[in-house]
Amino acid sequence: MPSDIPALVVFGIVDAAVLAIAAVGFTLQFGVTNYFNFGYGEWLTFGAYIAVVLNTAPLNLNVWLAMTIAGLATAGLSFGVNRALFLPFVRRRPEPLYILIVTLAVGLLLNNAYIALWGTDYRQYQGADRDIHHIGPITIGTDQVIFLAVAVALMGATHAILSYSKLGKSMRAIADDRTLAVVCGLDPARLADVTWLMTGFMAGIAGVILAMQVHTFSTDIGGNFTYLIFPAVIIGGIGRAYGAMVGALIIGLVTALGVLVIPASLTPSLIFVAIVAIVLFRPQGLLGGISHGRMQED
Amino acid sequence: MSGMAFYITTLAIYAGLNGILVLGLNMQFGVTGIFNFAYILLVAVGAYATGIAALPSPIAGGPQYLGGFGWPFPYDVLFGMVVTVLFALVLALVAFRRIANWYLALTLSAISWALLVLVTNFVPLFNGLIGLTGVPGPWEDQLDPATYQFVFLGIVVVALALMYAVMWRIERSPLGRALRATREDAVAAASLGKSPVRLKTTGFLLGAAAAGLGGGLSIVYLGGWSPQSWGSGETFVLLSAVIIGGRGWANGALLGSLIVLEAIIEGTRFLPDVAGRADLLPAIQSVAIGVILLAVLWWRPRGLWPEPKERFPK
Repeated sequence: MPSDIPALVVFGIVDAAVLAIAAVGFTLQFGVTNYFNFGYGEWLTFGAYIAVVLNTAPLNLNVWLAMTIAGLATAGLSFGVNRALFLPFVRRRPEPLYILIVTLAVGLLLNNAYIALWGTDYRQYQGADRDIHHIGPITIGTDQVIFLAVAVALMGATHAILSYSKLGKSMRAIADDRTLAVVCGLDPARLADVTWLMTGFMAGIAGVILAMQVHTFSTDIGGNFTYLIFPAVIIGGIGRAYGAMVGALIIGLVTALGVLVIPASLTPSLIFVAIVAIVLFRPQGLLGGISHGRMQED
Repeated sequence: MSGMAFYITTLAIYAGLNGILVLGLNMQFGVTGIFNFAYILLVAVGAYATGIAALPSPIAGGPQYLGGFGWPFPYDVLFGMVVTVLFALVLALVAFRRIANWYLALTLSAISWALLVLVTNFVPLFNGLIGLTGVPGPWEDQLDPATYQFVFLGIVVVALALMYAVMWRIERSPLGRALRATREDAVAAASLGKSPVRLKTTGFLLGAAAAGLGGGLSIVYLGGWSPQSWGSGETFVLLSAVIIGGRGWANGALLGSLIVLEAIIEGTRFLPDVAGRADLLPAIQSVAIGVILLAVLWWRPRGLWPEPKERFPK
């Protein structure tokens, strides 16, 4: 069924766009703070729920406005959790073990707070523009065009900040060599604040778009999505923003085009194969991650 | 057998099964220092392998699964343990030489999720979302339910005691000291001629044996195993138990298992349900575990009953 290929490629690219926003947020935060946030999925869930609360009765805000506010709210959550929990723990117990468990615990706490607050009923946005357009061999919805535009804008902004601004250069410097960057006078705490705000905003937007794409969603939406974010980051190279984009594109296209060769229910096994192949042949990721914690031996 | 006696023996059996699982995770995470955020995957491998060894061969039109050897206890559980250790060996060979620490945690949890989705959706493996059911327990068909309950409790107690003795012995052996040395400082251990990769693999396989045993005994007692049994939340609960109790030694881990898995999860089962909110109680349990975990990490980072300091004779 080769005639399906253009349509599948479009599906894959739209999936990859959402994944890229989320994965770039995850990996940028790791680069600057030097630890993973295993509760990151709950950032996405927070964005999705803030937007749905604003978008449905009694407020009935426009869905795109709700998405923007949700992004800002998630940035606030991200900043607040770092200041209230992550930063104090890192200062008190600097070994990576503690902070990883703390991020895992915070993810669990947030998820269960959502369940207590919003319940586990399925939610859905209203007023998303779902008109379908046929352009040559491809079919695409207006909402999907907007998703792509938002993703391209966010990726472009990330690229511009990282490449041209002093802030972005500082972020890359601290990700490359923390000690050297601190010796040169960069303030890791201030950079971490800005990074948590930025990546929180991206996570919130990604959460809303993800929730719009799956139409109905519940409190497990973000937690489940992290299992696509992790592979994207591993494949691209941990800590590398461009690596995360490449990893997201690969995962999006592989899972979308995979249905040509194997049943749709089995496409996650392709992700499994991709991870194993990366670990075996290029553990630093396609674009060469900051480090992959190789064991000292031989 | 009264309802209360039945309840208490069931509780004791669960406590024993959880104890075996926690001992395995403690060997991997506590003693050896492997951030295995996908421990429940090993438990699932043990459960599925035991299940397909114990079940009769699948009939056309019935539930689909691999194998179906119809082996009696204890051969089914032993088969489950062996398969789990071999599976862990493959994981270790793929990952340990190339990645470590929290990269390993990220990779293992991604692998675990991909396999969970595969097992859920690919029915011919282990009957998909429904999972394996009707797995026979040890001599279940020859015993009346009350006797069976006590017989199984006996089996779990023996298995837990064996596992505890093995772990206790290893922790105090030269191997245990080498494992802890790798955990504390892999470079220093390597400089003294200890191979971190080989030691981590050893600790991982020892833990996997306990995971396989716990998974195998779980499926023969519960009679079934499905993808709902091994979400990522399960690993978190076991990990919390090891950390809250005292990682790095069997006593601490077992104490954690009693606090987290018995006191918090079983103890809150009698709380009345909030009307119309059946989802609230599990949420409150998880919040309690999370808060206790954060408090322990803040004030008692090595756990409530910490691993004793190494003492050497003069």
